Amino acid sequence: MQRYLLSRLLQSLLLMAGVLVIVFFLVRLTGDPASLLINRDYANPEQMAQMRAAFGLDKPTHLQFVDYVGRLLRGDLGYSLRFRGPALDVILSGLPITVLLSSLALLLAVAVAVPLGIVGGTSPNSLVDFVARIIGLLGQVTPSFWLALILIWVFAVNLRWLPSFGIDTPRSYVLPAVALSVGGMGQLARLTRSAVLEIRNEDYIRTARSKGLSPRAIAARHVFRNAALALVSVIGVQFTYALSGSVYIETIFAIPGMGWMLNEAIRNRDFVLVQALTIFIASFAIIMNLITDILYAAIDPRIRY
Amino acid sequence: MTGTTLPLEDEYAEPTVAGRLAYVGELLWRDKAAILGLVIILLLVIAAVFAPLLAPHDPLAQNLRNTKQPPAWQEGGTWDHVLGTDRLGRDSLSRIIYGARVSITVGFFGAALAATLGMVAGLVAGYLGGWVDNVIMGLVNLLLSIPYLVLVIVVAAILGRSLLNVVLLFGITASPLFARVTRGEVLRIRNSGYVESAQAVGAKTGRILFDHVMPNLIGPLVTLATFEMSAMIFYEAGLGFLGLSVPPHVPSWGNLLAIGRESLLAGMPWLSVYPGLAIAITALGMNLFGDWLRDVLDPRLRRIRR
Amino acid sequence: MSGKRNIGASLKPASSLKAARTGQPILRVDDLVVRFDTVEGLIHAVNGVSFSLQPGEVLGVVGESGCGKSVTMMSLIGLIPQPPGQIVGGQALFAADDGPVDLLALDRKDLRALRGGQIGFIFQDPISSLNPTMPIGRQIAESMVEHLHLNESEAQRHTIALLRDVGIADAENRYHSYPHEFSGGMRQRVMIAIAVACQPKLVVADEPTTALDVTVQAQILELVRALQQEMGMAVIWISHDLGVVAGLADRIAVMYGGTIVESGPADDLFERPRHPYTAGLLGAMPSVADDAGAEDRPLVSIEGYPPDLLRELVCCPFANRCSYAVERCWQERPPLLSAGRQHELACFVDLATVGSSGDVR
Repeated sequence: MQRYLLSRLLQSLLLMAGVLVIVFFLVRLTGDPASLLINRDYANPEQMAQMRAAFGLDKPTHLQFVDYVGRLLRGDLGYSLRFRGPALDVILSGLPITVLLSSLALLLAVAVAVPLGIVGGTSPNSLVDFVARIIGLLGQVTPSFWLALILIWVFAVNLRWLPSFGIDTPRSYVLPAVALSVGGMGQLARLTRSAVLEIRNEDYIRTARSKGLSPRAIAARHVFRNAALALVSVIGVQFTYALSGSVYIETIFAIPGMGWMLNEAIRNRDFVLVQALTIFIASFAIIMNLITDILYAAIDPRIRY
Repeated sequence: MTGTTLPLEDEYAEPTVAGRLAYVGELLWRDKAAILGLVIILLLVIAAVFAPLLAPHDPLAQNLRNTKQPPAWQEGGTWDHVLGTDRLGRDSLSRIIYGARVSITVGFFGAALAATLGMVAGLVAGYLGGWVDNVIMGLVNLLLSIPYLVLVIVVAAILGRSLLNVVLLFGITASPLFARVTRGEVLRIRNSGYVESAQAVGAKTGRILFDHVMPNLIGPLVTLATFEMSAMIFYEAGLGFLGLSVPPHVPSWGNLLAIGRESLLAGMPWLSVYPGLAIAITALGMNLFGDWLRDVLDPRLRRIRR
Repeated sequence: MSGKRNIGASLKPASSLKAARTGQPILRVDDLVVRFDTVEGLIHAVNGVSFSLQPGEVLGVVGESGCGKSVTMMSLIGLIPQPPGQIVGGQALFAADDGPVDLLALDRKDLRALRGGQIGFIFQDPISSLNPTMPIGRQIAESMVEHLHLNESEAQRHTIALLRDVGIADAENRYHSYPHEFSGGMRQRVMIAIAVACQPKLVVADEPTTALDVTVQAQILELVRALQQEMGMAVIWISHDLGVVAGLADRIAVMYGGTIVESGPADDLFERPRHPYTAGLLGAMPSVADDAGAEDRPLVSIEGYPPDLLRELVCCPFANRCSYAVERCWQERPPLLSAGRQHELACFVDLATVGSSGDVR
């Protein structure tokens, strides 16, 4: 087990290092990074040169990379021109909001999708199953940004029940969370259904039936535990899915989280912040994956290292 | 165990192409959802190809005397502009029909490019193995570890707005998925004993792999491509919504939605509702058809009755 | 177990031992027909199977895969998926503790009460047939809790004793182990423990040794034989391998194309097979009864393919592969008729009247 943990940890660190490299060179692929860092229209050549010197952009690329990694390790993600502050501070101010919103969305998705999927998988081709499948499919094909607009139109503009922007009250989270949950909800519903369906076809369920157990006992003791294992392995992915979906939702609802920041940074060509956010979110995803794998290893008796 | 069909001698004969097609047609006919999916896809392709014939108006033609007109069935609407007009008096329906062109182009060429790149990378990695495999798969895993939406947003922002860039963007960022599937298939065949037995007869490893891998690859890759096409259309719309896809004057579904919030607040919900509906229906069609395709093309997933 | 119907007033409720003395079968199946409605069409899996089983008797059911032997037994206790499976007709009288019942006419709840309690089932593949995420002890104990109404700790105590009985060392600790922590043979011992947990009157073993290697096979056979004698239960042992059932079964039924083509006492059947298919099976097998004067003879495989079960059986299912087939074999299905003491045969030819055996084609 410890060896597995160690190798998995190492793997994650390697991936993060890879992300650093990729993001660094992606930004440089576009040409002169200085022109990305400031608006060329307002800067004269001298200012550009000053800029390059200030950011060490006059050095060879590999030395720039060393500088950049060195600064990252010291927790210096650069300076955000758009928000006029250290990128790290800016990101940390948005992080709790985005994590809260994504968690709410994921919770909502699980609360709706898992029961639907279980019912559907337990009695396939029934009416309930049909409804569950329709909802699963609709969830998967409805763009969250479009749903957000519809929700605003119905519940904020027309009915005036809920606010359409900001995070002033807890009620402000309702519409964004619903809109953000829809994609994951569809996927989770379909996944739960197919997991339950698949497990019900397993030989060990036949064994359980041969013992004369009631359908309820079989479901509770044999089906759900194994289905839950399948779900645990995707929860991490679903969370990152919600996290990145927040770019749309936070933009639409003007919620000052990381997603909104990413959009703002791109609109204002604040590539320092774009770079920092990308690294931050990718690392977050990698860590979520790591946690999921460890959790999975901990609860699945088959996995022992 | 149960219910296996036991073929008679004469049924071991190689089926004809016509026979196979008839069989596939029969399977399709049994799955009404898949037919619906196929119909949606065909309608979409028709809309994209014949947009100039189908669209009642020029999608770019402004008419400042007839702006903000609601859909025909609402008060103030006319059948001349079935889905209403925007704040510059451009016809909504025509713009949505033309939008199909962008979606289809991005979906089709994006998926084709991704499949080609991914297949080549996967074949090379699986066939050569060793450090080449490590490098390619390292890169694949790396790209897959970055949340996809964030990846495309950042790359799109760097590349800039053009149709070609969007196709390239999706072709490159989605290729790791295809590489992974391809490599998996190569390795599966490699370890399956085919190769050894064919080697024993004197065939070359490359030839063997190619002969056995390609037929096995078509199913999974076509299925993946269908789902990816749907995903690309989805993401293209999202990028358009954020102002990162095709240039702003091009009527694409994402671009139409980009002004969605403002339209809502200005009391023109139809400008948001219908482009989004077009996206959802397209995704629905491709998912329904893709599900069926997966069942048919991936025999390992087939069951007696779903 | 309330609401159980008594079927057939002539069948007296009787304990299994009494039934044995009076010759009352513990299970009598009449004309069982099972079909599967699949996308490819209607599969005629079981086409009128009849047999009976005495208490404490071991019946070997033999046939190649797809001949309907597993489906037959599983449909008796409601283990085939319905749909696509459907039991079209037949009767299966089981001498349950409180009177004979028709297994095919019972409602789900009553059938469930018998399953695992009075009828145990051993499956072929012990790794896929055990729940990977539940300790094996609990998988055995849950059956006792269900049918014997033991509480958890009693069930655990009984289970540990049972684990010892089926030959698992260190039973107290192994109770908490998961299936993947056992070897194939040990898993099959667990599977057997599940089947006999409630001291059933009938155990159906569906190719329980097929997935195991040969040395382990022998141990499992030995274990089942010992348990069978100790508990006095009847056993139906399904196998595609005549050699496996040879030493175990009192009586053997040979299945082909969803029907029983011949059945009889094991020795009798081996020495004097009377159906060409039985003879073919014996000929395709490395000598079973080598003491019975089977000298060095070449192994003969049966040519051709089994019948297409998508078509309804209107003639002898074996006709297309049988070198003895006569015109009549293609025109009607030979019924399963008594052919001597305890011997039944479904063939218009009857090798006993033709002469030579083990020589098809």
